[in-house]
Amino acid sequence: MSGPQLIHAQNDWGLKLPSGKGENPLPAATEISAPEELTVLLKQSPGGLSKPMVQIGQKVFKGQKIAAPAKNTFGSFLHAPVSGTVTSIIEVNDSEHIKRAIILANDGLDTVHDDCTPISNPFQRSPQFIRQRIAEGGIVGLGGALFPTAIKLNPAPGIKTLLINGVECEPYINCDNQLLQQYPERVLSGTQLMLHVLGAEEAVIAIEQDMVHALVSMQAATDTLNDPRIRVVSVPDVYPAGGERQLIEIITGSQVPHGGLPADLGVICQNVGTAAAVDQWINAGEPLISRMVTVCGNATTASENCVVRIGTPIAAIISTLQAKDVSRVIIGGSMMGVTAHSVTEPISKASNCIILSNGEHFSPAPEEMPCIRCGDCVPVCPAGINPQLLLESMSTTNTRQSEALGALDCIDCGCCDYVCPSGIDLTARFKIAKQTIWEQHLLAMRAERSQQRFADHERRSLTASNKERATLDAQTAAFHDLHTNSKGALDDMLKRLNSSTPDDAALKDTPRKNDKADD
Amino acid sequence: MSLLSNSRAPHQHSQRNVAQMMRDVLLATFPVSTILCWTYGWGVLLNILFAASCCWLLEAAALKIRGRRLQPWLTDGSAPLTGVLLALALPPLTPWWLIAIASLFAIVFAKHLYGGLGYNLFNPAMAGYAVLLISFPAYMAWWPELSARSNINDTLHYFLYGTAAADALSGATPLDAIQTGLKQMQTLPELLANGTLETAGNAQWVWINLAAIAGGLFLLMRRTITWQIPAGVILGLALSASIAWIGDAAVNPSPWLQLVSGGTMIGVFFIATDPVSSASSPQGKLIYGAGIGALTYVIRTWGAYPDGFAFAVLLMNLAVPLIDRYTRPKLYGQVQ
Repeated sequence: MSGPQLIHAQNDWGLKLPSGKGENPLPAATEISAPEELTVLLKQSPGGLSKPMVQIGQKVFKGQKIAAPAKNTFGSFLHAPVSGTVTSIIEVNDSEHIKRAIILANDGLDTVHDDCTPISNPFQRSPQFIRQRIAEGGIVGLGGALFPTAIKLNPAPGIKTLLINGVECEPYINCDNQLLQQYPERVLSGTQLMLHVLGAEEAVIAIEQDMVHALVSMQAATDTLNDPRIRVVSVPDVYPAGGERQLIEIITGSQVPHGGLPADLGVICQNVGTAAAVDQWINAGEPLISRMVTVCGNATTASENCVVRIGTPIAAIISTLQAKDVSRVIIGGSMMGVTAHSVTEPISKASNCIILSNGEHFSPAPEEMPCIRCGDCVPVCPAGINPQLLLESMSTTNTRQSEALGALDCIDCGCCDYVCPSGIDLTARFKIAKQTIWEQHLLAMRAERSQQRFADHERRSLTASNKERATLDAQTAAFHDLHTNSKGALDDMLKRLNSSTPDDAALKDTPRKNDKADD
Repeated sequence: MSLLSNSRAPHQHSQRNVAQMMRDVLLATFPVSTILCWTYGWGVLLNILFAASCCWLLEAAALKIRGRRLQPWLTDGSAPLTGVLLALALPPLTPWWLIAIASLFAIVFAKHLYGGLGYNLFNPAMAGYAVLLISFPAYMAWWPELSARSNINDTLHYFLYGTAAADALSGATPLDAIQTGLKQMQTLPELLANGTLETAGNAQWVWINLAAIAGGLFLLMRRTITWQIPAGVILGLALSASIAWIGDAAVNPSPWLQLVSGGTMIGVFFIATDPVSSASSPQGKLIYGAGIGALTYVIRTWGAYPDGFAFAVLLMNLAVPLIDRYTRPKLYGQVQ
């Protein structure tokens, strides 16, 4: 059989960043032993929140569910990474927000919970059953987005291709490379399970061109398995070729429609780590309680991949690996990683890489100067934004222009920052712009609702019959309830507005008076 | 253990910076400056040194008056670069006060009144040069005889007092010679045959342009400039010139002559590529460049000035916001 097919990109965005991934085969990953105390964050991703299912003082077993997805969020089931006792449920300050977390005291026994059993003959089971099981295993997208895998595996019909993303394009991150080299059969078996759930025709495992050893081991494992539905391809080593939409563009040659989903092209994209996690849960009975983490940086002697329990504080990794003089910790890669506030911050399902540096690891961007309009940021942007014009548009308070120029399309990859000779922190500014735009949308929606409520009230007091008034009052009360409950929860609000509840529909159908249309 | 947390993604940077870009361009002007000096004598060097210092001092003064910090602006190299580019456009013998006036317009009016580095609408060097072209056309048209070069005393005298023996300044550039010749109903083959173009330094100007191309290639290699603007200008000028030349070769200079006479290549690689006042997207840069090329041809052919590059650049500077608007890349997912 021939080697993996190389797919040439038809685009010219992105950066050639030195990765150094292909030089040597990776040694086996190090197991970091579970610390005495673990901190399991209840909110592990921006869109996901989980609610505790355990009481303080409760005894838990390894793999036992300790939190369930909160309503109307994209949270996941969380499991106890060790056996032990719930000591507290507290607020911790992580790199971005103050978050709630469950603190577990490890009893050191690793007594496994009864739920953690493999599924025998999973391909004889219905796709629905496996999907439900995947949800219960707390499996989420391990590429970084942490979107619940079970939800993603339940799209509209017509999915043709399952795209397994092994394009680890961001410098420093090496955990997918490790999985592909050490456990290619796990990735393959997870892929087969997901194919079963989706009923898709084919699976394409995409790996970056310079991840030579990963390509070799994956191709060998695929040849051995000999499943005609699965093939391995390699893609150019360009950052950010591993972004979901960017990879789809490279593989399929077409872009996901603006505002649409990959499923619109008949594609579902899953990370190789996710595939391996699905395999571990279904075939080995281990829910997502640990993950592969790359630990590197100039404060540690060797860059290595470690298997770490979710909830392990960074400090435990530092002491296990005997890293010295750590003064800066970056969670994630060098392009998109966030700086940790404290070494007490725990590993979450999203933590693919920890860069431990003694402060002088990266040369900082030059002192910020005004934009000299050189345009170097334009061709590198994978989202098709002209970052320079977007920056310019942000000098006014009118966000409409920023939105038209693609503020919401920015994927935070940092390519524009990287090339900017004026050292402007474009990505950070675009994040702020996004936030502002969302807030303004929320305000506008609230204003519209108030106006509608006022109009309805007017109409009631003028013309409505008693019976009609009673109905309308009830509807309005429900409506008002809806509005006040959703304060502060942007996603929640938007979702409610978009889904037409019966109350909403009734109000929309009611003829309105005094309904002033603004602009 | 306390951590440094003041760093935001991306944590890596290409380490390119503005000062380095400006230094690259300054360095790239070296070959063409040398050949110009070789051809026209010490006056060129004097112009370059005086204009660069003038611009630098005016930059300092403008920053002071505007209440800005002097750093990093005084070491970013943009002001001396403006001076050097201005000097490359000037006749080799130019009295000092003209250079001072041009520098004042370039740095204070074209740059700092618009907000300083990054905010200027017009190319500062060309704005300064245009002021001289319009206000002191006679001085701008006097070029020394090629044979009269390299007398330091005479050069200094002219630089200080603006007067010289009359015959020393009867020279012309090839573009002057062509325009004057055509006005006198001579044809291009005649101008070539009777040695008018040769006297005007046609051969020397080819070398000057080649030196400018060498500097331009260096900038392209260093990625300080991109290929779109130079390609646009060359295409725009060559295409316009070709159409006319194919029509009537007797009165229309060949595209080759257009490209290598006057400081065309200095303009192509050093002037038109000024990032601040040019278009930003790759397609926009091509259009911007092509516009400069075409306008240069129009002004050279029908305008009152022998060389129209400066005006072409300034006119296209005006069109930049429009070009940027209509050459915005399509957002991901909007193309199908």
